[in-house]
Amino acid sequence: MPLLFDSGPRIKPEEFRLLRDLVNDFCGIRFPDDMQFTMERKLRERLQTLEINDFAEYYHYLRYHPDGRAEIERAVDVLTTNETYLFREEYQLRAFQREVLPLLHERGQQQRRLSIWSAGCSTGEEVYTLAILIRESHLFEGWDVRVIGNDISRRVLQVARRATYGNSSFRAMPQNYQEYFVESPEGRTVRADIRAMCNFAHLNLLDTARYSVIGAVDAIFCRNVLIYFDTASRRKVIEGFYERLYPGGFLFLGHSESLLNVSTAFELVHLSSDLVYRKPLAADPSPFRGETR
Amino acid sequence: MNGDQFRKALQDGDPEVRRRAVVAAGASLGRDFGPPLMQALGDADWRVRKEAVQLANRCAVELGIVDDLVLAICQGDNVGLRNAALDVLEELGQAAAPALIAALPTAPEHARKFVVEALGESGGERVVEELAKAALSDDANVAGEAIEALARIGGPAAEAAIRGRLTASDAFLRLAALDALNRRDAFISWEELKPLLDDRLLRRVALTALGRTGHVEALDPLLEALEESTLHTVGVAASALTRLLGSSSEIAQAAEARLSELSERARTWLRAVLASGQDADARRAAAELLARARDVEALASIVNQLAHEAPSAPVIEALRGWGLSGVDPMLTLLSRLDSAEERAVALELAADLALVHGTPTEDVRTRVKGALRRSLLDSEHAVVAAAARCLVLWADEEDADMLVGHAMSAEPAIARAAARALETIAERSPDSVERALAGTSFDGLQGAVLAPVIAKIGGPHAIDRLQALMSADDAEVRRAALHGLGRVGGERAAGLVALALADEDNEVQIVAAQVLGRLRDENGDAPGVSGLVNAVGSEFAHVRAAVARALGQTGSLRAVDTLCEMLGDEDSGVAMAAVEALGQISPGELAQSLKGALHHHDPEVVKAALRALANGHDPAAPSELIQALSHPAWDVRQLSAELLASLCVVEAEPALRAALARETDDLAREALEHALTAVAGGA
Repeated sequence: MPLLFDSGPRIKPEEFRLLRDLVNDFCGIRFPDDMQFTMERKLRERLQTLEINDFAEYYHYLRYHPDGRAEIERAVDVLTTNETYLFREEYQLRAFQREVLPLLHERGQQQRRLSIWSAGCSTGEEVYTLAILIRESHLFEGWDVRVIGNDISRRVLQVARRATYGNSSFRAMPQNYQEYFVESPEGRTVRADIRAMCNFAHLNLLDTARYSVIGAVDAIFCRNVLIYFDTASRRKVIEGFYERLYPGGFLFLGHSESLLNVSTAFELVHLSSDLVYRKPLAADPSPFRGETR
Repeated sequence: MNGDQFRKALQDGDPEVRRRAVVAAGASLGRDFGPPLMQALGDADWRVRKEAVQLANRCAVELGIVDDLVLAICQGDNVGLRNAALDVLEELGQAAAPALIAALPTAPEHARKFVVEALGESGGERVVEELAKAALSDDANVAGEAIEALARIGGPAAEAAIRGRLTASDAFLRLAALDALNRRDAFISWEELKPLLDDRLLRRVALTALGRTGHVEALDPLLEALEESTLHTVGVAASALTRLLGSSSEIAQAAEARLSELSERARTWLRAVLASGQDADARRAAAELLARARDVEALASIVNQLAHEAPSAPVIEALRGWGLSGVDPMLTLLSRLDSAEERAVALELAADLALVHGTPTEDVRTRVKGALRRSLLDSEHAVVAAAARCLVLWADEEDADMLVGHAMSAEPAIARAAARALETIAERSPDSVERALAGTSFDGLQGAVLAPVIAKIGGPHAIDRLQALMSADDAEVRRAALHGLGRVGGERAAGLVALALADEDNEVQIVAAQVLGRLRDENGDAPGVSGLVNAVGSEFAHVRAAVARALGQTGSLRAVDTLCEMLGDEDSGVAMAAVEALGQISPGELAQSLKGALHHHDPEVVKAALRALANGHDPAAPSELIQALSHPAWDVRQLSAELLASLCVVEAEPALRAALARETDDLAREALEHALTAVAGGA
């Protein structure tokens, strides 16, 4: 075993279980049993910063210290992978731009308003990708367009607001979108007119009562987020999404995710290059009653 | 240590041994320590006396040596003992008064002065009476000392006694009395002062008192005094004169013509005072009088004073009296000044003078505008900021481009002033500001400066721009954008503000709550209630408190249930905010709503709830207040009694009596007694 693993406090199985459940209760993320050593390694830095000697004490801090709630946020930030990039899963984005946006344009003629929610947006690459696609479609000029990103981590939201990215964020971006970025000393920054379309919120996806701050939306992107959630949390979040979507609104999940065993309230729509979920036009206002719990 | 040991130790030839003996005596005080302590007070060494004074200050009464101390100040053989005893008697204050009063008639002539001096530190009605008698003493030293002592004690009786000596045959006593009344800032009538003005010795001191007469006749001698040939007298007269002018508009009016005709000699003296190192009050007074006299020659000095010292409102008001006639001299001065601060003041004054009596002529307007525009290009920030501030009133469409440039300044004072000026233009001509802003980047803190301008321009672009500012990474910009959205209003703005309740910055959340509390739709309803209700779960108490206050501001009954739940918040600040909010909404059954607060663990929350009930004249207020008379916290019981008194709840009388019978706290008892009187009066 490398020396690194032997330095610093060790997490006992019962401590792992307590911490895992605490994080799960807080934000719905479920760490599998084989994450024990990963958790130990990743959280050691937090223990050092707080001058806490062992994981039992850290658990106590999270539960009872006045700063405990903020510290759970930091712990989740450390434990989860925030890594994302622009134009991730491009085939899905293409479907969104070519097939979904025209539908939303047609449907929104009267209100001239478009709202897209990037749920669990991390450092904001997906938010700006969606805003660029909307701008590129040329369908919504003069409309009230909002792309809202949320995350549980204040740190990643600050990065998202700065909108400046290094090379790794551009690894999947087609060349023709370069014009939406300007060079800056720290990297490439999203152009101001694109940033102007985007807003961010510090929101725990499990706190569905607070979803109302997002307002009603036409489409939700929640890709590769729910895979970390347990089933109950997933159901709760999907229920919240359903409430936020306009009838006929779309839900985009990651390519390996589905609503199987989670919800039957959405209908599956076959696009030319992807499958997406849609809230039925004649939607039942509360289809989840009795289903989620 | 006992008395004998103490006495013996004081015989030692080494002063340090004697000093230590006094210190040791303080640690084991005995009844027989009085005589040796008196001996120590008269010791030849000052260190021993100093230690003895400190000990005597603590225990003179206890040791029964007050009479000995009085005797000590009446003797003349040991000056050290006399001074030490005087120090102790002065420190004893009221406790020494009876012995001092008793000694006054029989004290030797040379010692009466000291008895009186010590009495001056005592105070009390009886002492004032004795000092008043002493002030009539034939011994001028004693009488003078008594006047001094009365001045230190103060109060109507003391002042009356002093005033009686304004007519003393001895000029020095008259001077002492006049000076004492000046130090008390006591009113002396014109009639009392008039005869004193002819006395060369009293004249200067009498001039100061003239300022307090509030009598128009006092103008003449004060104006005459401005021509006297000493800087100090002119300074005193100037201060008194400005005080007199400030006492009534009639006197100020009467003085106006006189001041405009002020002699060159008086002007010269006043300019000299203004330029001198005299006290600030005299210089400010000189500046005010010269401004009232419209003395162009003094303008540079006045501007200098305003620029480098705390600006004086009367001086500025006096300058504003110049109106349009002051614009040219001020602009001329502006062109000659080197100091940036002085240029800034001159510019602001010129711009203000031109508008003070309404719309200026086109000619004046052109000259002032020219100066303002030139100053916008000044190399000094202070001048540019002053120009931008003036343009809030002076700017027109043509200035928009230049002001947008200044709103981008890194200097906050310039940027803010320019933005305010742009707001003014936007009020009249939003399109011109819109054009000037075209192509402007709102990145960085400039966004925060321009947010109010954007809101003032209004229209759909305003929301787009403010939405863009909401994505800024600087929280200050987002806060400014929220205020802007609050001013623009409408459904879309409300949605953006609600989203900011989930901002990662707490201060932004608080501003979002405040704005949502204020927002109203076209029907007058608050669209922010549901957003606010969802934000009460914040982990931060100050955010929850802000949300509670904002809910109160909505005035919506939909907020009541949430606010009632917030009364149980573990953080008292949140519970307090909820109480205040419920008081603001005043739901039908306020007492029922406030139940949670009336049983809160923090007495301050309970008090806030009781106040809300009483202020709202809730029908349940009397019974809740009566119940609160038994609250464990004394301050809650005290407040309950006070509120029952203010509401005059007659039926509370038996409960108040019962509460008084069991009350042990002094302040609560006092409130209960007062409440009983009030209630009985009401009945």
